[in-house]
Amino acid sequence: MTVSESALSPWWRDYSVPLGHMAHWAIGSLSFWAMRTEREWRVAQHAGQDPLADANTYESLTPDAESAFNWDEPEQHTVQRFSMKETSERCALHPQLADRPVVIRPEHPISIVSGETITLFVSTPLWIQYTVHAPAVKLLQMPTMRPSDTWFGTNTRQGELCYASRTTGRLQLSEVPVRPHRAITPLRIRNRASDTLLLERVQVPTAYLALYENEAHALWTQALRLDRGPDNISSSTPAAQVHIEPGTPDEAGSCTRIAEPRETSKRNLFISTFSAVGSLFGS
Amino acid sequence: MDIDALWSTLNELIGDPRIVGVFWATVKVVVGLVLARLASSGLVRFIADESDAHQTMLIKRVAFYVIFGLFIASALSDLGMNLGILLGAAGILTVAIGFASQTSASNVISGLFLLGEKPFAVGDVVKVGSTTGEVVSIDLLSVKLRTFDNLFVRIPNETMIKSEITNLRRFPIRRFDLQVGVAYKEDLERVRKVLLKVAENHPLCLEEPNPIVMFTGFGDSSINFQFSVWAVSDSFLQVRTQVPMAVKAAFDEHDIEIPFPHRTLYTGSVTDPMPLRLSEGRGDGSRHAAPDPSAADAS
Repeated sequence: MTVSESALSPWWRDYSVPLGHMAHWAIGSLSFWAMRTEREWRVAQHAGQDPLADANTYESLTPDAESAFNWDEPEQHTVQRFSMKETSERCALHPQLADRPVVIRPEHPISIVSGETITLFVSTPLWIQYTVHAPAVKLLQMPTMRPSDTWFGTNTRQGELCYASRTTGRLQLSEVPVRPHRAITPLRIRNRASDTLLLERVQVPTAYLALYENEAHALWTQALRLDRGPDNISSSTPAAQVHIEPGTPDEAGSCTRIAEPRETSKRNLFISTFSAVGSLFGS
Repeated sequence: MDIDALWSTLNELIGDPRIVGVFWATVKVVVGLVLARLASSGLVRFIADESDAHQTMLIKRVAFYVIFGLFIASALSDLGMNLGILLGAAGILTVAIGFASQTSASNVISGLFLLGEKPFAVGDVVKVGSTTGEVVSIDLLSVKLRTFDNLFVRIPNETMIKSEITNLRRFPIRRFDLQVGVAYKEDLERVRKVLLKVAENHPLCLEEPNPIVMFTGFGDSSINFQFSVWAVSDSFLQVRTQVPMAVKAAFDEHDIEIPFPHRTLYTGSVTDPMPLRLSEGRGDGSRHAAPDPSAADAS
């Protein structure tokens, strides 16, 4: 039996897997199989790297498909086994934001002239948390797409390991594609400095953001406000103060909060830079 | 009676101040040893959260020797020794010992400089000369390393001070340089794109700092490039093993040749070219070109 879901039907819900059966999910570029036996949940996952893959299917595998599935192919998927006293048929998928900050680079650099405030919509890939039983037992987390790593810092000695993501940098809400495996973050960038701000990259601190679902089942995060003050005169590394706006973003409409931030921070202020630092590294 | 004799001897001994002194000195040494152990480990537990392994080890050592030293000094004064004279004698002795044990003294001094300069800490991976390994401890006389094939290497502090040390874990990210050569017939721009695509598709290769494809020279049989990708120090080993494989796979997929050394035989401008004869294969039907040795001799 295959249940194909429309692009926007939410995959974050409860499922039931009968004893001795297997289920398969394809979300974004992730393929995920779960098999339930009397004393074990056996899961296999394969995360692709295609950011544009937007699969959203769930199927309960037929006995033929189950027997055809090969668990012993380490090149195709990674397998994990979770043993327990007994298993019950309930399992669930929950969306989560990335476990490290995501550095977003526009495909073409965007310039923000002095005194302007713009809202840029960017999306970041989601992670999936797989839980079983009630009350829920967390088994594992997996990305819907494995983003490439990148370094975010002023030099090679200090900085932070982040995920890299590309964006076309949409400025109109109507142009923003709603994908079931990505969460949209509005960035409100204000340039109060006297010179034009060249936006080469922005760091989105996803671990500190909460996740919301609106009525159209699109996933949103809290908005970020990046304020480049007039005192930041060094144009080589324009820095900004980053605030997380509390509550749902206005553009999302009425929302329900479906995931808490991974980390809670007393401060909602970060310092970020906009320019790429590649030229610093040389050969 | 024997017991009476024993008793009176014992009484005499207890009355003897020297014996009492020895007794108290022994007690002090033992108590000092136990107390120094306890105090140094207690101190380590107290500061464990705020200091790294290196500092912890140093503080533990210093606390142990200071406390134990005080108890030893006290025990010596119980034995009736004048500490002032002892220190004076120690001064002369130090000179004598210093000459006799120059190497050890030099190692101790070098060790202090090493601790002060902190080129590495316990747990770092360092390369000294031809040895690469994890620093297990930094001691009074030597630094102990564990190499990756799990051998114990002791390097005297004096050697450490004199030699060039490379700390592989000081900075969080590292660059991996792969030397790669392609055939002269290849389109170099396409080679560059294929290499950059390999870096882009490998999740552990950092997107920034950017991967670099650098021309290094026209080689004997290939055009040489240096392909440099950045990786987090912890996943450097994975990148070092996986990237060359990915490069080879990508070159195979795009029909880019990694050439073997080529040798062109040239017989000179005034001589005739070497004659070649195409011969039909014998027996297996294969076809191959082989120079005719007799013809070659004739020319």
